[in-house]
Amino acid sequence: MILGASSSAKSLAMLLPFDEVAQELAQEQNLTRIKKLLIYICTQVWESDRSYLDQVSLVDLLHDLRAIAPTAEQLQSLLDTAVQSLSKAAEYTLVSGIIMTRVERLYPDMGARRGLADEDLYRAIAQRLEQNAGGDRIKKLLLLACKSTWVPDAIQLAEVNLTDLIRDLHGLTPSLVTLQAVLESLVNTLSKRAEYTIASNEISNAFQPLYAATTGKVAALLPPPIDLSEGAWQASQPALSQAPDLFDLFDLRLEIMRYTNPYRAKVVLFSLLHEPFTNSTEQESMVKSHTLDDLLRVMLQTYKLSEVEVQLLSVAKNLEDAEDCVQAAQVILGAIKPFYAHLPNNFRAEVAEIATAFMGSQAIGANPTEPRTDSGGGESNGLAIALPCPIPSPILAHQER
Amino acid sequence: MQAKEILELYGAGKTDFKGEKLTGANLAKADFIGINLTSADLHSANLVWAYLNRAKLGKANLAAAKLSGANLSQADLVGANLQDADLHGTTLQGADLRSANLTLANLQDANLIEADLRNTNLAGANLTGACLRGANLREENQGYSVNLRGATLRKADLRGANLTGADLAKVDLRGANLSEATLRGADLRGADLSEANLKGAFLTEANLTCASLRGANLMNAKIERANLMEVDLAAANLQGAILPDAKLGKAHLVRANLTACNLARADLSRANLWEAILREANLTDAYLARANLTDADLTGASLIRAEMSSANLTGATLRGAMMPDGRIRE
Repeated sequence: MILGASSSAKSLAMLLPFDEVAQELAQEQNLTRIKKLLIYICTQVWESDRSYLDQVSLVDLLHDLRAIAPTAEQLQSLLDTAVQSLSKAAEYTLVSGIIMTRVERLYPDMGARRGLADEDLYRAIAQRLEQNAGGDRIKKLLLLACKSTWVPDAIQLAEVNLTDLIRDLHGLTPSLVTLQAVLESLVNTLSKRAEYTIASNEISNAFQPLYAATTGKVAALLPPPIDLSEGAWQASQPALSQAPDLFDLFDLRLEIMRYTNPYRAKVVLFSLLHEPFTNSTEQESMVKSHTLDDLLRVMLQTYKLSEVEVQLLSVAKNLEDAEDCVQAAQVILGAIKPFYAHLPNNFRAEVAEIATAFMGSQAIGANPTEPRTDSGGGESNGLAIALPCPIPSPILAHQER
Repeated sequence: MQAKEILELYGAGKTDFKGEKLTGANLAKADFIGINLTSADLHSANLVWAYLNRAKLGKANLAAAKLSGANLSQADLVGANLQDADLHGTTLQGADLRSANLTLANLQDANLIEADLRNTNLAGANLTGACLRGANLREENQGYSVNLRGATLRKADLRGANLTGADLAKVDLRGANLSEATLRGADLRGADLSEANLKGAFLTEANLTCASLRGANLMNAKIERANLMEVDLAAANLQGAILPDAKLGKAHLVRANLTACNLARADLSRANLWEAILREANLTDAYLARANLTDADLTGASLIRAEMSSANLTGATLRGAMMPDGRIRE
């Protein structure tokens, strides 16, 4: 690399880090934008001449930058002001983030100021996003934000380390508002905008604890750690933000309770979703470990109405006290019919997401003898049915992601 | 009396078994509709799936009894001892449970619709997923009120329930449905109401000190003069809620939605309202000493005579807001 004239006066000790940073920046996908922004900050000129941009020395720019902004705080403020004045503010926020991350070693006060979060926090967020039904979309979006690359290949996506991406993106975006702006602008460039808006919201929600750190409320905002040990799901509270009315099954439960015995309803649902109930003590405690709400949710997630109409009755007929069980099955069917009519097409995928987020990843296949049906389509096909099962079951199915 | 004996006698038409001793009897699936077991001893009896509709069980001893799946609709259980009883998925619709002892009882997914629970002791009981619509839990007078200390009411359905003056301190009400419930003067100190539905609930003069209402829905709730000191209302929805004279000192209201909320004369000193939405909110005469309103949206809010000389308004939007001096911000 050719050093600019102004760098000759700098001490030798300072040369190496500047060189290194320049080399790293030169590897970035967004090199042209990085240069444009650096030139803008250093000279207040918006340079778009391609040949000049190719020739300009990054090391010189970095030295100038260091002279203009001797502290990390000043640099951030300069970058923020510059970015705000640009038309493509979201894109340049990412560029500014890359610059801030790369020039770290030139600013001894940087590490303390930026306060990257605890690794556990990144891992917890990764875990949460990993369990999301739209996990692949989330990864694609994160990759696009961090690396400016679009990876449609599922196998390649599976190899991506989510924790690294989360840390990178946190480093690139100084505030939640910035993060949201960046994601929004990226989503607007994609064809499946609605789907990616959901993914973008998931990312913003999951990232909240990182930005809350500045208000000293990290612990309070942190989603509860997901404990995968047996039975622990009961103690964990839902890490959901605002639960929409769609997931409010109170009226459905009321309708069922009014016209049949709640325990009977649970027994029938358990038999459909898990295994025929035979009054064993073990099964009794298993039924107790799931609420009626849980069982209904899993049923709505797993079955189409046409399927449940046939299977629920046939299961009930073969249980002890068949008459009472059939009565309960009929009440359940009567109650869910109008409910199904109001379900949007993607409800099952969404419920699956909620169920997974709510119950953790301890998922068992509800009815592995039956082919899994999923009207949600798209990327939720591989999603496990998250019926939490504290007791080892003979039909424990494959863990799915 | 043996189980066999009572089954035979009841089958023959006898219904009066007042004061009978049936400790540990196996009466599973028994049909005892309308039976009179007043003051009977049914300690640890097995009554799973039993039909006890309209049974008279006043002052009966049902401690540790197994009543899972039993039908006790409209049963008389006044003063009954149901301590540690298993009432999982039991139907208790319209049952009279006044002054009953339900300490540590398991009432998960139980049907308690329109049940009379005045003066019942539900301390430490598990009411997860239970349905209490229209149940009466009202405080009649001092010393005659329901006790729910340490109870679990997670995802319980309490829509429209009357909980006036109830003791709900530290109760787990996560995700519970309390829409239109009356919680006037209730003690909810330290209660966990995260994600609970409190739409249109009456919380006038309730004590919610240090309670958690994270992500709860309090749309149009009436919360006048309530004590909400140090309450956690992060991301809660308080649109159209009525909170005049409420005490919200040190409350955590980060990202809460307080659109069109009535906060006249409310004490919001040291409250954290970072990124809170206060559009069109009424903050007339509110006390905002050292309140954090960083990046809050106060568009069109009324701040007439509000004391906000030490409030932090960095980045706050005040477009169209009426400031303390009566001037409207551009």
